[in-house]
Amino acid sequence: MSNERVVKQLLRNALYTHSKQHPAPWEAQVPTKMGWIDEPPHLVLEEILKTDIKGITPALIQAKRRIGQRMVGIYLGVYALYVAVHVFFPTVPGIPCSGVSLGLIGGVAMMLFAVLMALTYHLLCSRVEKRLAPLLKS
Amino acid sequence: MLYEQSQLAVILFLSVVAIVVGVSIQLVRGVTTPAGYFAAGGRIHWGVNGVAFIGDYISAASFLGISGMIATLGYDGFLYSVGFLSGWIVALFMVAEPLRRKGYFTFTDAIDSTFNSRGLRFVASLCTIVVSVFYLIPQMVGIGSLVTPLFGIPHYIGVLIVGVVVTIIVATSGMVATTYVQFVKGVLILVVSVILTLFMLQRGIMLPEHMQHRDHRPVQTLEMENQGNQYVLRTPEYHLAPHWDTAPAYAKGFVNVVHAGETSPWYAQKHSDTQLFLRQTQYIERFADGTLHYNGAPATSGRVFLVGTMEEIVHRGQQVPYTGALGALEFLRTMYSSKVNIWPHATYISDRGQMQVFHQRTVPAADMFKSGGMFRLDTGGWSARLDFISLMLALVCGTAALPHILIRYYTVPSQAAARKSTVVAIGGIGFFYLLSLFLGFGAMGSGFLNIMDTNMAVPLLARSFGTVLFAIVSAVAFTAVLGTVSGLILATSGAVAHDIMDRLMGIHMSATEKVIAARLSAVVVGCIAIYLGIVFEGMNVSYLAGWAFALAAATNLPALLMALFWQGATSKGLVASMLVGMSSALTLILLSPEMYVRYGLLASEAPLPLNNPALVALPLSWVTLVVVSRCTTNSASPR
Repeated sequence: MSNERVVKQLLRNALYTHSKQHPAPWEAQVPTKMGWIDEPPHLVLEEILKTDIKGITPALIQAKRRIGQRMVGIYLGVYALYVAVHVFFPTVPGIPCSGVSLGLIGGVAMMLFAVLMALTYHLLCSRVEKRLAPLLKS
Repeated sequence: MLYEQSQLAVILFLSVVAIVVGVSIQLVRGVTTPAGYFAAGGRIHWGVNGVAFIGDYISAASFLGISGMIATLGYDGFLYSVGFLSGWIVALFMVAEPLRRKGYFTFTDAIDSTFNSRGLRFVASLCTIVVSVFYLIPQMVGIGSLVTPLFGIPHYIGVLIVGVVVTIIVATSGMVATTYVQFVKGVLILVVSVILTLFMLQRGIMLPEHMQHRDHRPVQTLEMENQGNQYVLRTPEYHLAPHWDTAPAYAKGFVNVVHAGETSPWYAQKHSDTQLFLRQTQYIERFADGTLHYNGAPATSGRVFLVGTMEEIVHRGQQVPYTGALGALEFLRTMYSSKVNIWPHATYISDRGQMQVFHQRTVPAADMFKSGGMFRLDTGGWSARLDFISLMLALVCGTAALPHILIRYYTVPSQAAARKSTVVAIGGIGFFYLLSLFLGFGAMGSGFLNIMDTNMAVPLLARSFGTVLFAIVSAVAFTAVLGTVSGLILATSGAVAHDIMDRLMGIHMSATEKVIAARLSAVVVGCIAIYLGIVFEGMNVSYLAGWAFALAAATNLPALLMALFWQGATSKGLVASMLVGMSSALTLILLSPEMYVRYGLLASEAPLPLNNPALVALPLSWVTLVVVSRCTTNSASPR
């Protein structure tokens, strides 16, 4: 798939309308989803493709946002599980494990998981940026 | 005396002060625009900014408080650090790049970027000021816990010195100087923490009689026996106080004993049907006028003695008096299998005032590796569990809403740089909290623990290795305060000068005049910070910082996230959300059990069992935002 087709596909995925009171002018031109939008609705698809706003495009913004939302959901889910274990099974963190307590191992694992998630997020976002960089520069 | 004044610590501290003030004055000529003052011109490298994040975030509460809590409470203190670090994930994934994309100077700019609403700007800047002040108080108060033992000077002099230094830093070069102060602080904290941890692992664990630099004094024990329906003490110099068995102390398990004209509580342990052992305690008396006495005298009298000893050390299955050098995991395993002397406390109201009494108890150290020191999750019922959930919620949601953290995102040149600097921060802060785990457990058995001032756990652990390391760690602790306070003063001065004077009141100023206004605001805020640090002397540092997180989470986070991501948010919805979040959080804090203890009352008398308001205030704020936004429209014109 050529870079331009990739961008168009990404833009189609990224263009959302947010309210029936403010319909986007391009709705009749490309399929949209109900959801949240970041950029002003008056920008049409062709203008977005031609516009280089210092390397930032709605597609890039939306792609990174979705990565962030999914990853924060994953991390907060694990965090909620960690808290829930302490609340509903308060004796579980005290179980001996590898010469220390299970709770201590869990806490250290949460910290390492946070660092791992941060690095993963950075790598995923960097990959998206690199993918769109040639088109933005052309 | 509990602490020895170290000339080296004074020299190091003055050197740090001279360097940071010199750097600030050197940079002042380059700061001529508001962008330069508030955001360092957006030219800070992501690596520098990442380390500056570490220096900005690791305040006295983290550097001193977390290790202190682990040293006295064990695992429950460690849970704080898990929550603190988790908050950075929310900041990275949800806030970092969108905030940088807005590209202005303050938290208010980000919130108001789409709405251009005067009401929203006013409320957002007000919330910035309130949250920053809440976080500022424990930092300024924490200065006193360092300067008094180190330099022997009164609390207010220490607050005055540090307050003036920080004000000079911020008022001269703004964000540029603040960034480099925080960068240096971040590096120093990590390096010193690594060195102290390595020293501690190299020394290993030992019983108190083998410790160097320590005058080992076992806790005194008296024998009390029943002689013909009357209890007497076998030691002739000690006498039971009149009505000891009907006093409030007795209901808590303490017996009032008179010695040399002074009455003190002793912890009663039943030995047999006719005999009790009374163990010496340490206690804090809070009188009606707010005066505090430690072991029956002011803090400077030197009656407080160091604790934190091992009762029995089991290393590789064998009982030993000392272990020698240990690896990281081996250290934890040895601690886990040994016995340690802890000092839990009880609080009661006596005829003289509020008494907080600490008594020694020997427990398997494995008990310190599970919850129970602070959070009574298995015995405290649902109030304890809800309080725990509320705290963990505040910690994970608060970081991404702290104004002095958010403004740092404007200092880097791009969104990618904002992201990278946050990743660096997460790595550094995570590494620091791992080291705090070792420092905390190391302090627990070091024999150099002041149970009545746990914020000194890390400096006193360093003291156990000699005065040089003590001086270095104390100087670094000072920089911990400098870095965070400078960020807070900068955030607050930005709210005053940029948000209120410039954007809200519309006072027409040239770029130079705006910088002057910002500098003057920094001076005023610095003076207020000094005043607060003096007035709130004696307050616990960690609790106040925790409340600041809850306040930020309830007040700022819903508004920030919805303003960034939800097109349906209206200015009125955001205003209502922040006001409801702030008022509900403040109300719940004032009615909390912890504050009732500060009032001189008992925690059980508080109307609400929650010490942390996030569980109620955060959802309330969010619901308010959604409901009001649905019912209103944006009336102001966009930018």
